[in-house]
Amino acid sequence: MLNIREVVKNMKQIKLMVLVLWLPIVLNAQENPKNKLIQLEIRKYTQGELMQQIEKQTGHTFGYGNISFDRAETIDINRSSISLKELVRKLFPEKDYQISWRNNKILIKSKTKTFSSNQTVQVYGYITDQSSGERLVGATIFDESTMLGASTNGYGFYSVNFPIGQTVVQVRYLGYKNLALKLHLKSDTLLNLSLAIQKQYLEEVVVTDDPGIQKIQSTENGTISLSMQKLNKMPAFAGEPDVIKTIQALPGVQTIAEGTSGYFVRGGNLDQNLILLDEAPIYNPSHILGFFSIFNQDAVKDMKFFKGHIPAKYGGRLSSLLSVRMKEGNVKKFTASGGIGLVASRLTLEAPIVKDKGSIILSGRRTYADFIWQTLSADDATKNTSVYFYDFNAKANYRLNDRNTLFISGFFGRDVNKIKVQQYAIIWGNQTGTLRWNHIFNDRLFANTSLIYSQYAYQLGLRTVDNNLKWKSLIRDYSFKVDFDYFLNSSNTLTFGVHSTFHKLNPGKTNEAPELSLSNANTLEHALYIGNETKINDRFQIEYGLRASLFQNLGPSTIYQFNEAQQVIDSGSHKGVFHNFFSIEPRIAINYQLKENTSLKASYNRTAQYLHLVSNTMLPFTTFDHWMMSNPNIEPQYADQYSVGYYRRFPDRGFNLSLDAYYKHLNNQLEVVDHAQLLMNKYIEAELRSGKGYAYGFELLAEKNVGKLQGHIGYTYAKTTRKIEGINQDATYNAPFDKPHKVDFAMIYEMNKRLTFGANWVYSSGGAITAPVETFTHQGRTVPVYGDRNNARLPDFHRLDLSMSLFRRKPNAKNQSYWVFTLYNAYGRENAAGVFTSQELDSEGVKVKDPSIQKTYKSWLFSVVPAVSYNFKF
Amino acid sequence: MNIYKIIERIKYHIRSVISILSCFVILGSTGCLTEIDPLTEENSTKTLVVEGGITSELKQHLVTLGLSGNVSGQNSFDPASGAVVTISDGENSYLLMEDTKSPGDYYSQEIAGEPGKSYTLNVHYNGESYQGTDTMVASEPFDPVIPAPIEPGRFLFGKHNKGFYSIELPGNFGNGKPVIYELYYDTPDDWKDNFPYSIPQRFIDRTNWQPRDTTYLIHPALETAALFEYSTTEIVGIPLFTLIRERQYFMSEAHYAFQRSVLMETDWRGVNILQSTPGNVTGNMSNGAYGFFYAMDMHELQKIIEE
Repeated sequence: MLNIREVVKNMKQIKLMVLVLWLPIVLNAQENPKNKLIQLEIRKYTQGELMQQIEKQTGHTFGYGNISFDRAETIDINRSSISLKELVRKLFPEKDYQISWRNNKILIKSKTKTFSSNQTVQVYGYITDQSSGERLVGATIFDESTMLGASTNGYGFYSVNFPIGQTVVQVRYLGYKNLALKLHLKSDTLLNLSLAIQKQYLEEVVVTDDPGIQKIQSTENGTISLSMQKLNKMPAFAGEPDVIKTIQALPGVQTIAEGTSGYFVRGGNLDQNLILLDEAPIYNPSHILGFFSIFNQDAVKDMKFFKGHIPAKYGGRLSSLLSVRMKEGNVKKFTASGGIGLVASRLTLEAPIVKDKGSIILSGRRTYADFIWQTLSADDATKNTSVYFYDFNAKANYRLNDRNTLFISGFFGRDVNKIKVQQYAIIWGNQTGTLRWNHIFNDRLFANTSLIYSQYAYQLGLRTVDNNLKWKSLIRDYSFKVDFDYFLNSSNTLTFGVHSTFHKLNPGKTNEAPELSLSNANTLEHALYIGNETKINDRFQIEYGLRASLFQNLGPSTIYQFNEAQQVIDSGSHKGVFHNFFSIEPRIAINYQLKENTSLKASYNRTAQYLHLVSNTMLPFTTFDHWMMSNPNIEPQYADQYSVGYYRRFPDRGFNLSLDAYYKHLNNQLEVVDHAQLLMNKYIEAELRSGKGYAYGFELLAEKNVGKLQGHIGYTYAKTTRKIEGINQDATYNAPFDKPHKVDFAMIYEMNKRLTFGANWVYSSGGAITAPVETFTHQGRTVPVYGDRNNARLPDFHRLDLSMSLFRRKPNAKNQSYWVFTLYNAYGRENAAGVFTSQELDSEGVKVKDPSIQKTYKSWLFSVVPAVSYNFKF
Repeated sequence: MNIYKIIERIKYHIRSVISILSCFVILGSTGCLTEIDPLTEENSTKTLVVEGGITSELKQHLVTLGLSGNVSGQNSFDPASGAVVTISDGENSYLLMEDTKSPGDYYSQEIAGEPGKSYTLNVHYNGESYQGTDTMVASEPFDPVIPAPIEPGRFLFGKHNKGFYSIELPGNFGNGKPVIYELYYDTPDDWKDNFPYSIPQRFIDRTNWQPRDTTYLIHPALETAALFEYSTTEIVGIPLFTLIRERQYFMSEAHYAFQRSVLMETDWRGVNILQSTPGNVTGNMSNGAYGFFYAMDMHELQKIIEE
């Protein structure tokens, strides 16, 4: 007998199965806009009326390519509903017209007339922001009829083939009003364009990638562009929006500990990330041991992050590139902006040097907790402690003429930690300077020539009874580079150039004990590269390139030789160029567009790196990290990365989806031996071991970039291991940043014009850590004995941050001001920064409570951290 | 034997670090420590642990033998009792006898090591043999400590600075020679009667203000992990006519590496944000035993604080 409950249960299962089976079909039907039904009256319509109905009811618009038709011609409609596809075919019969569907655009071309190459001209120039004159990177320009187009390069320059004659050109950039221009082209034309900001966009504050369509159509994979404008309203630690912290939250990027500026990309070490500020390398991007980064939110225009395919133009690091660009300054009028927060305040001034020809921007930031501390603290120790940082950005540009523009920019940052009680002063900072010249040789050839200076230095001062000791260390670069973009034709853009850098490394010297000073390491690093981005057809694009690099050790220098036991057996003094490394780095990326909104991508990258960062601390970027150059004892690092990606866009719903998978093989990865002595050690190479690294994983990212509710959710699975002779008894072990699972979620909800809420939630597996398996006692101390390296995991990490932005006026008002309230770590998760065993401690974790009992403790940095900042612009 | 640093100093420095962090978090939401379960399973192997050695002083030298213990829980390390322990220099061999009142402690006769010689500890325990060898590095003369008058208005002393001094440790930063450095202060009992200056109230009222006998490990180079843990200058109140005795024990490279590793895994770990990557402390004992057998030459200086 059939049980009625079973029937009901079975019915539910059947319904579920039907739903599961039909869902893709239903979704597919829904997503195909060509099937949308147009409701019409049964009567005669003119062509123009029907096209109006299509535009009104479906949101589609028409583009035309050298066709002529009579909009007044009538067509009989004998049904009340007709599909979009059928109606378009009625208007433009297949025998006469070719129809292409691009997003919401219907392109109509004549089948009887085509263009030949000698009927085109070259249009070129810059695309800029109308209100400030800032050049826009990645803006697109295309001809409506042929859909031929191009996007601006890293300097805001474009060059594109357009047909001779009358044409309509569209210019677009995310966050700006579209610009449509009617042009009558007769010959090659210099055309500088400017776009106006779309005011509503100021309220769209979610961190997003490039517009989804660009993701689908370009060869870029694992590339993310971010605008500072969007970052500013996301929840941030101490209310200070931070470029690096945003990067750390992205899929494929891992950190070791909370509150640091270091990050690890797809299994690469900390030093394998090239960080550029206006093309100058930054060796330590951290303020206050990494709680903040050096990037001032008001001085930064935008940034681009590469973790997959890295074009041949860039080199010197294995795993990622973060290119941060400073604002150029307003060429139209004087503006000021700034903010006052609990930790720091900042002020930025922009003004034209000569209106519409040149401008200058000055931006500064300083913390002031030290003032508060010294004023309010009753404790001598804190009263006599001075901890602060400041940084200063400056940039100027001047347009000499239509073909030549000069830029000069600089950054100066400094961290000061003076702990008078302990007679210590620790000071560190970065300095950069960039002089650039943009030159347009002709309608197809663009060049950027740069002279670059970069320095990272730290200093430890110790006050003694009768003198002051100073220990100084620095790495300094002088670079020259020329980058060319050659717009060969509408299908090929060539990039090529030459880079040359002189690295000067002073690992450490002291005024009081010269015998402890370490000798300098000077090197030259050169690179030649060439790449081509080619469009094979409408669906298939390929970008390929080759980078050849040469690294040379320069004397005078002393190189030590070590035996197998890492003891010094000989040394040699060298002058001039005494050692060379040469590397060939092929790069290739392909994109195959399966459908209008779907594409498959793949890439292969080989990268070489000659600089190495060694550290024996558990905290990324500790000021005292030690940069080293490749030399006869240290081979360059190499990496081969293979990646594939699936990208899909759901334009109707405003969603973008991407799935990237990668495998990376790393050679000559450096690791330090247990308890390595890295400072003041002239035989430091004896403390290093070299081996292989392996990393694989996949990254899923879903984004919504339109509407009141915007945001993204990402998931990363990543595995990273190392196998290095002399470490972990030669066995494979997890890298410390091996965190297999990571979920990151970010959202912004715009309640109204003046009130916006933001939330971030991040979860990751705990980092790999070496944990003790037993202990022994020595002189009253309990000494841990460890098992395999990184044999355990820290507790899982998760944290929720909330923010609320309250505009005093509408965001598009001329004078803006707004409050940002943030709650970092809203539910007070005590995320472990480290774990250790100790004799039982008191509740403050300072005094030993019971020496006879041994316990395991986790140290953590932050509980709930509320913050508020006031920001203004006028 | 005194531990290397006074515990109060460590606590003080830890507080300083926490205070620095609190500066940035403003509202006092700073981190701290929370007890958690051990991350790995206990796996105590009851391995032999050696602690002790021989110096150039003529005295009974102590070698303590114990066994390894658990990571958490009751911190009891069992003694290794009933072992046969000898120290030899290649020519002579000295038998060490176990203290019946303190199992695991083995004492030699009154002997003194000679600089330049290598000494080997032999242990036979539970059917296994263990050996460890260290070479006694000859000591070198060193300059006596220079107590510097406290500057007016300086930390702790205020304007009552007369007659008080600070001490700079001899090259804690980049000394080049690793030594164990001991400071002993012999303050005359009647110093207050003869003290010619006003005494800060805080020192009159307190009975424990006097400088303590302390032992330091002097490092040949800058130690990142210890930046907040030691300083080059100790500030102590030293009345006039105090006798300062300084002892330096010169260490072999292997011995210093061991001592430094122990500090990296103990005192310099915890809330210290600059702590090093964890690693095993490697000693000089064979057959898998933990610990270190040392041989050290000692040099002593004495100085009386006079006006």
